[in-house]
Amino acid sequence: MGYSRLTMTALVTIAALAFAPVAFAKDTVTIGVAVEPPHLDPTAHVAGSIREIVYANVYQGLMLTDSTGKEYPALAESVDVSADGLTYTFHLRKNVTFHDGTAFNAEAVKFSFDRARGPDSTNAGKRLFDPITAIDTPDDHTVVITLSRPVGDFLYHMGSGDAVIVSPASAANNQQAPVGTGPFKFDAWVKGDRVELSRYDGYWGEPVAFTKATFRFIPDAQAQVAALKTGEVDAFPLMGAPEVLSQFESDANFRVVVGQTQAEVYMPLNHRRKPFDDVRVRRALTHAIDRQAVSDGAVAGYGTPIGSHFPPSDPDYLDLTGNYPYDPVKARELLAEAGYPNGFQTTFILPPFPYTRRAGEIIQAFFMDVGVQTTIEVYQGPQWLSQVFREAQFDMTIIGQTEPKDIGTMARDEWYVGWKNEEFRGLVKDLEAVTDAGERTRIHHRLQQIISEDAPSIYLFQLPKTGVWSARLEGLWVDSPVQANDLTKARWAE
Amino acid sequence: MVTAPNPRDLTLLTFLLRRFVTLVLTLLLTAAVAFFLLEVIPGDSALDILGTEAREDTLAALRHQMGLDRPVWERFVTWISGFVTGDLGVSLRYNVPVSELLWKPMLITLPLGLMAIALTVLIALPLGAMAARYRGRAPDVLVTVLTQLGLAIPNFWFAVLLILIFSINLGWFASGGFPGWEAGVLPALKALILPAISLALPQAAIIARVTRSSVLEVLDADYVRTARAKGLTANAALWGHALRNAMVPVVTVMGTQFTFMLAGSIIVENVFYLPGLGRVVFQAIIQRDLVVIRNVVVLIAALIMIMNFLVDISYALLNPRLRRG
Repeated sequence: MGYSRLTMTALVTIAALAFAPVAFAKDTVTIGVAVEPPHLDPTAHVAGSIREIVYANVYQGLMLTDSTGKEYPALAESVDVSADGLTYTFHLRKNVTFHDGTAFNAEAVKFSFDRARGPDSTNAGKRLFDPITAIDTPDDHTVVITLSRPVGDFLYHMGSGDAVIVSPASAANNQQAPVGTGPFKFDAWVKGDRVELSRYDGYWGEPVAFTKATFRFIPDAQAQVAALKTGEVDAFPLMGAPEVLSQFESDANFRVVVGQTQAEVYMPLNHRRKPFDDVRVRRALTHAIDRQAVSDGAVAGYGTPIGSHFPPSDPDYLDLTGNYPYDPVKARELLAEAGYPNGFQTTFILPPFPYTRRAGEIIQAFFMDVGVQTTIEVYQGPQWLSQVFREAQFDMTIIGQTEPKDIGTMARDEWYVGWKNEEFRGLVKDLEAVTDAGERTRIHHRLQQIISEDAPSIYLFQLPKTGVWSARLEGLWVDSPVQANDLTKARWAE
Repeated sequence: MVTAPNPRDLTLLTFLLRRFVTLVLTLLLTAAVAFFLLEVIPGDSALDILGTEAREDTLAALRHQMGLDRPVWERFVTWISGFVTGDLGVSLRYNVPVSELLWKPMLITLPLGLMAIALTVLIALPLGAMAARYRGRAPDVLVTVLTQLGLAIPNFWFAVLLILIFSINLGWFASGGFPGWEAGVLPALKALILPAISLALPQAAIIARVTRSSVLEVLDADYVRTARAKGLTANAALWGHALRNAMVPVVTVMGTQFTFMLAGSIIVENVFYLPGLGRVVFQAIIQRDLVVIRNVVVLIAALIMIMNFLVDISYALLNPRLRRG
């Protein structure tokens, strides 16, 4: 036995040495993504699939978001904020060029932001630019932005995909041929198959480790597995079906990486309709669900149960799941108290994502247990957006809300949930202007508590970021604080 | 010198002309149904593009840029008049001309379909004829078992099986994807082989069975017996006389199978992640890209009508008696 093990070790070593020079020389990377982007301009579309390719790789903003969700100066070298929080002076990096050779300067910043906030703007995040009253360019490398009111998250917003800086010379063509200032430049887009990027030699910062980065579109879960196993893709940072992950866990060639996203998976209840305007009913329904069981069935147990509209990865997160333990007896009592001793009938509209559909079916069973009969209807994405989200024609639904720092959406008047809580709305308004970290934490905690107490929606779990990649690939993001596959720090292990 | 037109050519000409007028009218009707039916489907393209954080003013600006704020009749007329001149409009999702979006996928799906049809014929006809020739004996039993199997296996499952054997275990083929024709003809064809096989085999099973029963029927016919009586060997009678006459039902079935092949390509292209027409259609439906869907509906309708037209003509070539009809 000792002999054969020794032989094996020797063989493995020889094999490793024989293959080593070839393997180590690899300086390209292929990333698998499930959804092909509609185009490649993040300033004209909300799609995460665009940002998963171009964010930080091709385009950069004055700020960018790092792997922990913190903003850092990118095209800005530094920022001065006035004491009243109304004036932001961005000192721009010098010697930066766009991929088309034009110079990056204050004019490009002003152009990009005026384009995003102008009357013809089709920027999905146009509201982020609302507080801006003036953009001044005292010199080529300074931009002074004046706000109408203090905005605590202003620098964070400047790091979003909606706020990347584009070249005035090429902005109109960015959908098909993106031009930015990032470490990768765009080479080709073979529709339906892949986008190819290559290292930009004129990059102002640390050059990336790859000469080429290819993003391949593979929607089918089994095809994703096959592409990883045959080495056609080196990484699938966001696998479509979490249940396939276990196949890779025992394979030393791969790493299974489960991280956090910013998507709270929750059940919006329509407060404009009975009986969801009654807090007892909402609490009853929350007690009726075993969140862990829902996460197990919907995302193979990789989701973290949540009790409020806040991601567990945020330092200000409070675990409030204990406020509503799974308790069908209590749920029935609360329903009886609210006047529904025999439960009620309702419809449950599900968007077509695998996790929402699976969660929906499990929850249907939990509700039946407390007498609430649900009819499930599955809507395609566009129908869900127009009928459920915009027109609020629904009783209950499920969605993963992907925007970061989005607890404030629950305070909006036109929001489809239709929840009106004055204390909550007041605090959200306060929060917008507060920049002091301690005070922000206090407000964040209170907001989460109000949501837990009033149960405007039923919070289920945080959507996990389930990825698989080659064991030799380092520096990919574990979590997904913003939708991105930032390759600036990724490299092959030596 | 003017010669009187051959009356047979004239019937063929009126036949063709009549078929052509029917074709155009049917297409126009299809276009109208596709357009107005799709208009009823709930949804708002601007909202799909800009998402839940977008405000009304931004949505309105985008709708205006996309021309969605124009009246429905005006948009229908614009589309039809554009369609005739080859301008199919702009995809709602990808914001590129639809013709551009369909052209390259067509260059994958058409060769894929042709390869699959060729494979089907190459496998099915000899197998079917052989089974009929050796009715009740070992080759017949073998073919019957194989075709049973072929009928029972759905092509998406077959595709996964092929990937497992030839890509993951043997490593002969990529597990999917398409290098593009610019990478060379051979690599491109290589990428289409497994998908073509998984499309062809279930079809081949059906065609082989039809061929078998059709040939059997013909083999019992009087003229085959006469041919045999005149001293032709069984093989010569089969290949020289029976097979051609047995082809009419086979061609009919193949014509209808063509539409199944189109439907099958949607599934197979997804399994092999080929950027073909089937995938474009699938994506367009999921993403409510109405402009792409309505054009594809009309194009596929046209393709099927042309296919049926060709089937009719091939009847006439196979059996002159059918020309007068």
